Amino acid sequence: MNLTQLGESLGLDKNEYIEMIDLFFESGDADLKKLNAAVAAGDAARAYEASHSLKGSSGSLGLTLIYELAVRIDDRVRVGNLDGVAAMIKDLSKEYEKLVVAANDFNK
Amino acid sequence: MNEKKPSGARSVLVVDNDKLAVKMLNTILSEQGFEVTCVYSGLEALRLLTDTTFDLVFLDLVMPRIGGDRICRYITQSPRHAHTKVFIVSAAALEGRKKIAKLKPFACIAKAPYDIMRKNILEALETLNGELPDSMTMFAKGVQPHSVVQELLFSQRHFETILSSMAEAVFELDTNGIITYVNEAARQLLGKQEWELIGEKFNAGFCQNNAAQISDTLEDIIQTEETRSNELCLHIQEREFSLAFRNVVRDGEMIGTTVVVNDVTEKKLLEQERCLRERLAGVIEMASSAAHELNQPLTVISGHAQLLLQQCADDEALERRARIIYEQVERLARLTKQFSGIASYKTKDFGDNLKIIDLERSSKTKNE
Repeated sequence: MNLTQLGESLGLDKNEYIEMIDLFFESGDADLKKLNAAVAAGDAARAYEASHSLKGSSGSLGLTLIYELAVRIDDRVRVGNLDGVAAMIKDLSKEYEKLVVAANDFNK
Repeated sequence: MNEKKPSGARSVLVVDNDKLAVKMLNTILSEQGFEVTCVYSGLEALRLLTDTTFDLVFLDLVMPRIGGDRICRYITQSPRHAHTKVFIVSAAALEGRKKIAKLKPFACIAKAPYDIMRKNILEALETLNGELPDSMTMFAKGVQPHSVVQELLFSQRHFETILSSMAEAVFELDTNGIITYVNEAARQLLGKQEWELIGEKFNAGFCQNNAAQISDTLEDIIQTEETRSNELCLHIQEREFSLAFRNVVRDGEMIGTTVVVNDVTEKKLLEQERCLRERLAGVIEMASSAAHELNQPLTVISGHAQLLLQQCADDEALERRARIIYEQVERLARLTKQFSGIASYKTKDFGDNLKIIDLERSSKTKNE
């Protein structure tokens, strides 16, 4: 994952982009936690709040893979369907973790 | 009044609860040379706007508690912000177009990936240099409408319609007792515009005379961690109001209070009338049974008095006494008739602030 390229594709220099990525992590960490807890509790409405937030913020920053997974989860939990959502969250968490690693590398 | 003047660059206020969105807008607007102030809630924005004016305000539409719609109305209706141009920045720009246009912002910009949103914002800012349009302009190039957002907006409108059609005045307060929502009935009750009420202290805005009483009730209800209710009755300008307070707990966190205000003046009057009717029914019942019970012995006394009158016709002194007995018994009989004829509850003064039933006015049977 090349954050410099991603930032440039949006018209942002790398420092501005990483600042935004850090803000994305602030809400993203909370959203992921909320999403996991909501799915474990069978609370689709609460899961929807979290997936919707993740979808919006990842889409704003051009984080396509995270965005697409968030959209899939969002579509499902919105209609109260939690089937297979736990597996989708695992995929999303993996992509999220890759972004964390890329951001850490970038900051080094 | 600490009025801030734009210095050099035109001043911009950015309001969004989403830090990432604020950062994006700040980046775009700062690079255009604007002096940008950022706040992260509707309430912060309102506090700032009470003593500061901005040339431009970029507002998110959906925020917890005080949404961008209320702040937009506050700015567009408040004379001191007459020169301010409001830009609504919303993820529901396309779907909520009609509703947003009613708020009369200068422009509406669709939330989108950074590069797309930047283009739309720059285009929107460009319009400030030309002839200003009469109505809201939409900037949403490269953005598609979402059916999901439409559903959400429909749901939101549904609840707004219910709240605005309620006869009861509904207020929402934050944990500091600041008004964050009023429905139509609340605006009518206080005779004020929404923008005059939002951001005000409920106790001061509602009624100065009862401020302390309201503060105590609010403090009491906010300090509890569980959901609970409290009621207060207030007399304001010869009318009586019932205030039902209920704290609002969301996800285990106390987020404020709702207050439902009812004008109970008519209800109280009806209650008083009902009490009076019950009292009357009691009086009538008692009078009828007393009259019935008295009637029999009075008839016996009257009969004997008549016999006595016949038997002592030769004894003048005795006859006079028997006549007095007879006349007084007859008088009592007329009174018992009046008792049984009581149909209403009229009283008369009896000194020392005492009132007694006025038989003449209360009974349909007149004492002849």
